[in-house]
Formats: sequence, structure tokens, C-alpha cells
Amino acid sequence: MRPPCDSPFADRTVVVLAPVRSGTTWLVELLLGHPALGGLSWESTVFLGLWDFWENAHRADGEGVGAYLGGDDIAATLRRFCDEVFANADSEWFVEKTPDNVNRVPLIATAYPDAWYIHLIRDGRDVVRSQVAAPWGTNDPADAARNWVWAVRQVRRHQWRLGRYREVKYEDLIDDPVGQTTALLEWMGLPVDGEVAAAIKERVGHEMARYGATDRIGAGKWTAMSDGDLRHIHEVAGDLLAELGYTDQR
Amino acid sequence: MTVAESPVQGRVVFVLATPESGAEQVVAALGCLTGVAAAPVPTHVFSQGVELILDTWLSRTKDALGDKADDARFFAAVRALADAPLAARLDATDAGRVVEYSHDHIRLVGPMMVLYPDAQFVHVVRDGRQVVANLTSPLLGWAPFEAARRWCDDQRAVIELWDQPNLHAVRIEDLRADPASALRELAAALDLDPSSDDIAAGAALLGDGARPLPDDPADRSATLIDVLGPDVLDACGYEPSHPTGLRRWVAQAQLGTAGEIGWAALGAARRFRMARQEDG
Repeated sequence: MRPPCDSPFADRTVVVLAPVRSGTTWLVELLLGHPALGGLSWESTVFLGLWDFWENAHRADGEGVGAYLGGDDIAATLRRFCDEVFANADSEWFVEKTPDNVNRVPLIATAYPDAWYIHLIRDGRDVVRSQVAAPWGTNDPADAARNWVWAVRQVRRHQWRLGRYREVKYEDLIDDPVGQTTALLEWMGLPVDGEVAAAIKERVGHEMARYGATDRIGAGKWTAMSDGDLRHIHEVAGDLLAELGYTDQR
Repeated sequence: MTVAESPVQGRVVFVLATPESGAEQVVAALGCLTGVAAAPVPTHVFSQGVELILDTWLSRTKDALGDKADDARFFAAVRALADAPLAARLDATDAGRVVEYSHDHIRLVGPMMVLYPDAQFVHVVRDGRQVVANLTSPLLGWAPFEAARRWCDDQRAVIELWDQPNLHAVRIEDLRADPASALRELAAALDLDPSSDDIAAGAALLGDGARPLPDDPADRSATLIDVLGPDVLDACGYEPSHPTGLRRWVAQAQLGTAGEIGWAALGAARRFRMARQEDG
């Protein structure tokens, strides 16, 4: 789990992975209660921007940068580029969170083998409800369910690439935000004293990425969905919901 | 990293050309010069790499950075990324200069010249009528209107920048007609000082003036260029042909929506025929 080159963020990068509307913005807000951590005000999308370069490096026709750079060189080139972008946050640690990153795990794992990966998992029915209610994206519950299944499975499919990987359930985070965040920080080797715990607690009430929603924050809001919508969700996501233990009924 | 700190500072020659313009021959000929390494395959680093990075920066990442966004710092990071394959080629060959050609880079000449103000750029031009004839031949199978538009758009993008001191335009026809003189002239423009043997080796690759390129574009393709890019032909020193009114009208129809629909229908018919043949 050594970085592919000298890096100011060696062992000090946190990547939060999850489908869109899973609560990642809130989790990052809680993590940033620790003074060592920093991030950007919005999603960096840096790995999305690098996707063409990544594909270029793996062209099947033998052309492209892969003809000149070995795997280690490509990893180092990607790492230096991302580090330079992340350095804008002016912090010791960098927390990266872009929902699209679920589709970029092989790239991210190559550039950041030493990062701490947190996979935030939320009840797919709540994720679908939130996606459909958002003022952008799909209005179709089946589409939203497909997005959720795809994203969760993508991360789990590539989990073997991530040396430092933890799954956290959104519902557990809601139940005990300070305890769960503290456990994550301590897993990363960051001490959590009373001051840090207080900072996390202060952030618990911050409303993040609500897009005008006025309903309560919490888990289980899917119970207000129609039978038809829930049927569509189960058709698409029933297996994964069961696999993750989201088996409760209305 | 600043441009001055780049490991390839002042050492890169980018060849820009529409496909089927003869750019690969120019790269190979320059690669014959002592101290110059030709990149053996395209890096595609701008068309499949830097372009999306810049798009993402402008549309998303810059907003995420807010007040901390710094174009110069970001471009320096992009430059370092693009340098990597070129620096590797220089390291592997111990050459002083590297020459690179990727067929889709020409449309990105603007950003390339911003990121590489210290590089030299060689614009290889070939008569668009012949380029279109090649691109639309059964070998490559481009749609005629696409090929004609591509040639005109590509040349216009570079012609706009011809006044830049580090951009040098050469016509492949001139290089093939008198390779030794033209190659010596190009080398001088690139601040290279080749030996006579170097020039002879490069000229041999270009046919020693004894093997001119084909010059027989089909009338249909030629008319497309005459209609779409008379200004480009003129700027590049090619004599315009003077198609009849009927040919001109047919070319305009091909370049319009009717042409695109017709081409799509032809393609569908061809695929249907092939599928039936495969089914026996």
C-alpha cells in the first residue's frame, strides 16, 4: 500500500465511495470535523477528467501513452496530477468525494493504493426515493434503482483492489454519527479527543445537499412510497437489498 | 512545475495533420536526423486525455476549487501529465528531441500551443481533394461530407495560427517533390542542424523525388472541397478546380442534410446486404 511516487498525501487520502444521494456529503462534513482533514467545497470530478487518459493508457491497439509508460509510470503520473489538484485544499489530509467515482475504482486504486476507502451504503429504497425527488436526474424509480445497484456492485466488485476498505451503513451513521465518525477517524490513525468529538457533534445538524427538500432527515423514508414504485424497485434491486440486509417491510 | 522545469522543455516537435496527409512519412523522415527520436505510435495524449481533463476543469473542477482555483497551476499539472510519454521516449532513446504525431491532435492545436509554448509544431498539408479521396476509399470508408468537413475544419484551425513563430506549415507534395531541400529547410526551421547523411536518409524515406504521391482524386470528392473550402485551398497554395454548376449543386446536396440521410441509407443497405451474404 505504498503510493506510486513521492506524495504529500501518502497515507493521507480518504475516498468516500457511494451512489449519488447516499449521504456522502454529510459523511464528509462529519469527517471534516477533524482539523487534519480537508476537502473541496464541491465534487472534484478529477477522476472523471482522467478517464480518457486511463483508457488511453490501456488501449488494445498498442497505441497511446501505454506504449511509452509502464504500469508503475502510469500510476505515478496519475498520482502526481491528482495530488496537485488536491493540494489546493491546503490541508494535511484530503477527503475526495464524487459520486461518479464508483465507476472509476480501478483508476483510483492505481493512483491511490495507500488511500482509506469508505463505502457508504444506504437502503436502496431510500436512495431511490431521494434520487427521484431531486430536481435533477431520473424521475423513474426503476432507473434510480438500477443506478443504485450498479454503483454498489461496482464498488464491491473492485473491493479487492482497495487495501484499506470499510463499509459503513448510512442508517448506523444516522443512529450514532459521532461514534461512527470517530471509529472511522481512529481506523485511519487520527486521534479523536474531546475537541474533535465536539466539532463532529456540531456538524451533525448541518443540512447538506438537500436541494430544497423540507422533510425530515433520516432513514426509512421509503415507507411513504407507493406500492407501484416499491414493486419497481424490488424488481430491479431485490437481490441486492436482501444481500445488504434491507429486508424490512412496510 | 513550470514550463522551464519540464523535462521536455524545448525538446518536442508536434506534427499536426489530417489523416491521409502523409504525416507519418514526415515523422519518419525527421526521425532520421541525428538526435531526433520519432514517437513510433501516436500518444493520443491530447485527444484521449488532455481534452477531457480540460473540459472537466472548465465545467466542474474549477467550480469545486472555488477561490482556490488557479488556471496556471492546473495547466502546469496537465503539462506534467502530457510530458510523461514524451519524456519516456526521450529517456529511452537518449535523443535530444522527440517528434510526435496523433491524427486527432490537429483540432486541438489551440490548447496544445498554450500548454507547449516551447514546442515546435509542424503542420503537414496535403491537397484536400486527395485527402478526401483517400478517406472515402473502400480502405477507410469515410462519408464524403465528413471527410471534406474534417479536412477544411482541421486546416482552418491551424491556418489561424500560422503567424506563430513556432508553427511551420509544409506541403507533403513539396516534400515529396524535392525531399532533400524541403527537409533541410524544415530542419532549419526546427533549429536542427542535420548532417548530409541525415538528410539523405530522410529524403530516401520520402522517395528521393522519384515517387510522387497519387494525384487523381475522384471528381465527386474534389468538388466537395471546392465547394466547402476554396479559401483553404487558396491559403495552402492549391489551384482550385472549377466544377460545373450541376456538380457544384450535387456537392452542396451531399454536404447538406439530404447527403447525410442518403449516406446513412446507403450504409444501412450495405450492412443489410452483408448480413444477408453472411447468412448464406
